[in-house]
Amino acid sequence: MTQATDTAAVGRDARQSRTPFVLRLVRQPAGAIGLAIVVALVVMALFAEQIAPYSPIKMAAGRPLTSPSLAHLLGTDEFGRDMFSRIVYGARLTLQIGLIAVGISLSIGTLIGLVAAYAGGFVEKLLMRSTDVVFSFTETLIALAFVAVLGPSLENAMIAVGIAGVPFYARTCYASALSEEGKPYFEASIAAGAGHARLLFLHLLPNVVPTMIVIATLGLSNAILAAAALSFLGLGAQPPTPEWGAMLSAGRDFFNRAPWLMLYPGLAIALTVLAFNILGDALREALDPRAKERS
Amino acid sequence: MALVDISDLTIGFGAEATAPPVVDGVDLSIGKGEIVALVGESGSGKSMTALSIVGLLPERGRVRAGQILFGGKDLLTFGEAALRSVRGARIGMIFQEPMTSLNPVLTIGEQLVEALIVHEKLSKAESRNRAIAMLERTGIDNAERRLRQYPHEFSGGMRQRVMIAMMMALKPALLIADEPTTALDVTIQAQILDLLREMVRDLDTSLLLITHDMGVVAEMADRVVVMRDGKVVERGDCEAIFAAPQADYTRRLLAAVPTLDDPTRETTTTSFGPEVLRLEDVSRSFGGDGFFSRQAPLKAADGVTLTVREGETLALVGESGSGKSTLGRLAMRLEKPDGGRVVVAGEDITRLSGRGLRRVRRAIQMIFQDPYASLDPRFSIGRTIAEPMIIEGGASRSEVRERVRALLERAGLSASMAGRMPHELSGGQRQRVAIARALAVSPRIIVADEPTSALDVSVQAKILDLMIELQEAEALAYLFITHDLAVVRRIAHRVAVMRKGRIVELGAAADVLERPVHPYTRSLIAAAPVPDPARRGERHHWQPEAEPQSPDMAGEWCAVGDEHWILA
Repeated sequence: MTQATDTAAVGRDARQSRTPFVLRLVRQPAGAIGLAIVVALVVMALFAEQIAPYSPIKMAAGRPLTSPSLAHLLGTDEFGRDMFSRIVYGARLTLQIGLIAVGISLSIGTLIGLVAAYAGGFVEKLLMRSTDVVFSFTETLIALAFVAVLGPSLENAMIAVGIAGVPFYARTCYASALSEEGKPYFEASIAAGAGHARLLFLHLLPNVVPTMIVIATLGLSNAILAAAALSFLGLGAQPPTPEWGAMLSAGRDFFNRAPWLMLYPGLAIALTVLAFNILGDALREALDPRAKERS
Repeated sequence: MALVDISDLTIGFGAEATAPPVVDGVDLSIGKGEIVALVGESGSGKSMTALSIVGLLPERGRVRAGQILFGGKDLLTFGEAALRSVRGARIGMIFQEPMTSLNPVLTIGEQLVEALIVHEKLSKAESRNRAIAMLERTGIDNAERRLRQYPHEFSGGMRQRVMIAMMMALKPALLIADEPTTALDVTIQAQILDLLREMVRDLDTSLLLITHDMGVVAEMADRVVVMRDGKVVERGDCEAIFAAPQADYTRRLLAAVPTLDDPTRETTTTSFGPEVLRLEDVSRSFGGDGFFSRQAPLKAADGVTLTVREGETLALVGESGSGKSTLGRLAMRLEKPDGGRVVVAGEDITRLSGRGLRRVRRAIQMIFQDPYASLDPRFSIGRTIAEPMIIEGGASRSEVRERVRALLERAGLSASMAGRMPHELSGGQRQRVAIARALAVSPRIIVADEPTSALDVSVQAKILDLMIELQEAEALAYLFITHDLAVVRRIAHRVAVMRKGRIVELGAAADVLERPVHPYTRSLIAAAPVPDPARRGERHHWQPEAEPQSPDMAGEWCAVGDEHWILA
């Protein structure tokens, strides 16, 4: 985030009476629950080696298709791999996929939206109309098309999902920037002689960032779901990668004998998506500068 | 017996221990056929008091004590169903923004007829006839055709008429009008107030009028109740309150109200410096160039020529849609003129762009109407004021900090405000910050677009005083855009009256306000409410029929006095 340091010092000596941001977030039950699940996911992802009792790809860690037990908390799959370990390592992959895909959508989308709103005229029409064209196709379809061209792999799935998400971020950012641009404070800054960079990055960007953070958090769940769908179709993560979507897909063949093979990856995906969704909603509340005084 | 008798009403938000009440032990009674004005500044609790009568307090708002007797029964003991039968049928309400009280997806007819069917149990045909009759009574032409139109096809004044028509059709015993004319132009306001008075007289309705405008109070009220911080500070007959206010607060409130009888500012044409802003035959139109639209372009500015000299205030007066704000934006080059020239401090900025424009434009700064949107919500106050200096460059950090302190104090704020965020400030304080920011680049002229119309009168008076003081100290020029003639009187040296994109009258403030020549200026002045109940009814109404019908008002400039011109 481009945070200006130039004038920040001017007001630093005066009193700061604002409630810390995190406090505002966790005061809401939804924020606390969402944040707790997301933190758990991050811990799982960071310390997968320490948490997982087995290697996620080691075959015959136990007998194939054993049901959940103390030795194998979530059972084993058809190759005898420990499901719990695979889910834990899967968290790492899932977060990676989500963050990279959203990172791609967010950065390109924000840039397009800001530039279109600020430049106006021909540039605006060109950028937004082409965005509209892409937007008229379903995200999954675009992602599929990209993977079809790039070839099936986890990396390509991330890129595909990221690019497919660009129009949504571009339009949100565009709308948000347009409304900020019309406000008097923006014109006052123009009148004070502010140049393009200052207007774009010190006034427009910081004021659209809260909106973008919220939709990125909500978009994370979307991206995770889309990537899982690609993997489920065999176009994303390839075996033996412990990706939740791919695991879900592999578990289909054994659904009758070993339902846990589909249940736990499915639950993991659902819980993650839910967590990011409610966290996103809570973030929107907490990031509203006018909401700070509310208790 | 009084129709409404409120006693010891106390309203608060949230838990009693933590939040002080917003309405604190208010007593209020309204007799049959009486007009009671509830007066106070924002936050005084006047709207809360009114809303509690109909049980429409906002979420978390609770009546903590008291009773509201309406026709002898305590409304506070009513359940939701019982209240609903009272609302509309027995107690009507009119709000400030009529667009929000009308359903945008239903035609006016459907809404009027529905209200009649629900409350009066009339047949459909009967309701229709009654609705037409009511619309006609409120002065809406072509009522039958109008019934089939949607709210957005009506102007603000028309929508307020529809609301009143709806109320008249239901013949409520009590009408609560919350700032019913605040969003309207003065000429329309005068008509709406007449309509309300007629309704009270003909239907023997009681009217609770909530307003901050002492002019409206003087025009309308039988009795006045003044509120402050949730408490009643004074009550009495309208004449008595205006003639001899007892409470300190009332006295200050009345003193702060600018009136058309205040002396205008001294104007000797020679006392001003060189010209700092010149608009030459400036034009700007909107629309008409769209691919799909065949509408004729709207001329927001149509060959306007104006000059403002150093140390002078030129007030630009007009009703909404007259193009006065567009003219201000053209002077700032926030809007590019279609034709003509804009000259700021001797330099033609019409064709400038980029760096050149940025340099020259620093001589002209702007103050905006909405104090909430005019400061970047993510910039601290200090950073906002420092920004123009940072852009200019060349000053060290400590110099900038020193200058921010000086500017804050100059604008009547304490230097410690620098660390605050905009949302922590009141409207008046924000407007002071906006003034400090405008001064930061030492401009020659400031374009002020309705800088006080979102503020309470007492705050407005202080902001105007500040602007005058700054002008005298630094020979600043102002292009002051407003719809409020009383404010014009307080601050302007010269006045330009604008209508449909053209200046129709231009001259010294005393000449234009006291000896208006153009019929439009006359109608504006006649419609302005006078805050003096003794002079009620002196107002002359402008008849729209009297207006010259030629659409583009082609005309010639004629001198009607010394430096006093009209378009005829």
